Amino acid sequence: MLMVLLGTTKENHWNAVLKKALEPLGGFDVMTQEQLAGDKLDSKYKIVALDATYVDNVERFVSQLRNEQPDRRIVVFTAAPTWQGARAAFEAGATDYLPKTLAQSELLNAFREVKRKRLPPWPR
Amino acid sequence: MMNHRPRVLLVDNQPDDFIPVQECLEREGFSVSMVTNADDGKREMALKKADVAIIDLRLERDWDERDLSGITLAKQAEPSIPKIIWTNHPTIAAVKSALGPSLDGLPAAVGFVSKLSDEGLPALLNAIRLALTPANGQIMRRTLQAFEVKAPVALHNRVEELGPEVASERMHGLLRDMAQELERGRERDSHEMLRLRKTGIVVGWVGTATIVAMFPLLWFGAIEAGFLSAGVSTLTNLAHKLFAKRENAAQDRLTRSYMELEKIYRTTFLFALIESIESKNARDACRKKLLNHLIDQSWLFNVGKP
Repeated sequence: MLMVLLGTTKENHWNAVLKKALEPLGGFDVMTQEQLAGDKLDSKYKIVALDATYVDNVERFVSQLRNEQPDRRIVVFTAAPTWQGARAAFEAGATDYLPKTLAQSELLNAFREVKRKRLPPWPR
Repeated sequence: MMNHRPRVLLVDNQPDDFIPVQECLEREGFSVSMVTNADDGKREMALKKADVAIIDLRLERDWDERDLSGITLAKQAEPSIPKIIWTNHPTIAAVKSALGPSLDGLPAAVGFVSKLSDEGLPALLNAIRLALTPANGQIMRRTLQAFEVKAPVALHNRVEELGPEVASERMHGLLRDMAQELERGRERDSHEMLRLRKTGIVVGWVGTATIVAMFPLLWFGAIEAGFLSAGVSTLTNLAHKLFAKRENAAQDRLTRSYMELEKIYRTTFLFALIESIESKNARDACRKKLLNHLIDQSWLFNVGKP
């Protein structure tokens, strides 16, 4: 499954960690929200990792991505996780909500699980 | 839309927590039943004695943060009943277990609400109403389409993004379209009721005439005529019941249409009234207030509720 990270394309320590962690799964492309500029994300990307630090209005963006392609898996990464944020992300259609951990094995396991999961019907 | 009082099942090992919830839900028109353990909860749900279940997160050990027995119950219990997790101990892990898709694709619950004062009963009521909204509920589906969002949770943000003028135009337009459709549906139902009534009368007359026509034969002792008239009588009776049932269903639909239309016309009147305000700032403030009220008060989900 092709993956894309929606966040920042600038040199970034966490991007580097994620890239290294997900190498066994084939890596991922990187894109910014501005680059999409309101266009639809290419349907070849079946997994979208979304860096909440660089995305405006995360919930709306998640539901837009799920709406465009209901079989898309969306992982929300955040540096400031809260239970309310997790609830909003799942209600908007996220597949997982993860803190920006630096542990590569945790990241890899999380993405393996995301790939294995079946998706609930959308809209709920 | 449900015609009966929606049934809420509360599953909580702390019966003291029940009372205010029960009182509040009953005031809001719900019928409430309660159990204090997972086994009873599972049994009640298996018997489909609830339209929605509110389940405490920690059903076994209130002091143990690893206790997610409420979510285990939500996963194991009757899948057709929507569940809401209700807790004093909201955590990210609990939200993930409750609302995240599990390996079979389905989340354990449809809602997650904190018992603490930042959310409490108003948030629980909202979650219950959302859970009771059919996934393809016409009004909700149309509203989400009109605002180009996929989940009710995103409506507030969308209104902010669009701005009060565009958002209220969209809502106003949606309400006008729905009113027109409801009017058309109401006409169809009125015609159907009339047709069913006429057909019922014709069937009744034909049956009676057939039975009366059998009398002379019965007089001369034709036993077949007796069987025939009994058969015709039974058939007429069955047909009459069938027509009455369909007529009642059309009548129910008509009543609901009237209620929905009344709410829609009341709201469109408010939108029209707001348009007559001269000051743009005051107009926008009123538009925003009305839109947020429609979303917050779950007006969208309550249309048609007696």
